[in-house]
Amino acid sequence: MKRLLIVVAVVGALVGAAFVAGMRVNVETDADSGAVGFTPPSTVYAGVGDDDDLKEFQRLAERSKVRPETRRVIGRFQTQMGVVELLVASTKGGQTCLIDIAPSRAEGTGCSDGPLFADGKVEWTITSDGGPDRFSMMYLAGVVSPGVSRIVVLRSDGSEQEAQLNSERAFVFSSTADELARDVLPAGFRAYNRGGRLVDSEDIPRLGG
Amino acid sequence: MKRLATALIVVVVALGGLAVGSAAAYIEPYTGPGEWWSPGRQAHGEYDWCGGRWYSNTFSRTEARVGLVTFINANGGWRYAKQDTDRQLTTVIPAGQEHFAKKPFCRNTSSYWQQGGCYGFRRDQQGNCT
Repeated sequence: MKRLLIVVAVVGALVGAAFVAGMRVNVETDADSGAVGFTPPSTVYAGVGDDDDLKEFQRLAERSKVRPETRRVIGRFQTQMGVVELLVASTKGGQTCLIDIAPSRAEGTGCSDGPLFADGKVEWTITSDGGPDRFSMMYLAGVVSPGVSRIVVLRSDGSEQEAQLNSERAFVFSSTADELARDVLPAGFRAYNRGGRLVDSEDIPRLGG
Repeated sequence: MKRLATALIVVVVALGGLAVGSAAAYIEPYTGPGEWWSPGRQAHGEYDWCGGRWYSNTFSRTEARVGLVTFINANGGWRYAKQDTDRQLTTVIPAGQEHFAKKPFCRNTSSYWQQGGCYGFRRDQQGNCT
């Protein structure tokens, strides 16, 4: 009887240890994600909906895991709110991601299938805080393909301004506190090639609308 | 007697490990994975008054259409909003700053239909009301 109890205990200990080890991996992964790209935990459980739905979301989350060795910083930009950092990375599922790290260290990741610029000449994202009526922070960030030499940001008041590209062709266009107070937000962009021809554009829906 | 004591200690350690493990992260969808989204359609998860704190929010789509993810706090304000056309759009709250009441929210901000779903990750002890 004692031997049986010991066997049960040892098996229980092994299962528990493995579980804890798995969760520790998650915790480390979470810590990593705070700096350089969101990496979903490797072990997931619970949730709502049926099992098939949950499995599908688990698959999607697994697919979007960033491969750490592919992370590359393409720019650090000073804004009124602090430094915004941009990175690109690839995922285990073959996606390419643009990662932006806000001054608050909040992190946004946008991943698309295939290589960068598979869906257009400009890979972009808008990040904000506050809202939906008045925002306290907002920036349009992105990176343009080699064929783009100039990008112009359109504001909701009809004004426009060229965004400065760095050596990696990345940019961050941050709204000023005055613009945010007046509810003047980035409303789109136009990208031009060296010859001045329009090669990509986007009208961006108002965030809080 | 000594063996029995050892076994009991091992069992306690194992159960303790499971208890620690259950405080880690878990995925929680708040829509189905392949739902159709009409222009302007939006969805949200539950507030994390109870259960693990939401710390990430993802809108996964099959098409490159504009979408939005954010968190809505107890006052209805938005935090950590993101909008773009990427198929997998995620916003993540900095580690340690997720300890406020909120719910995840996603919206099809494009003028086109799109297909996809929204989910987030939560962490902390389930059922722990604060």
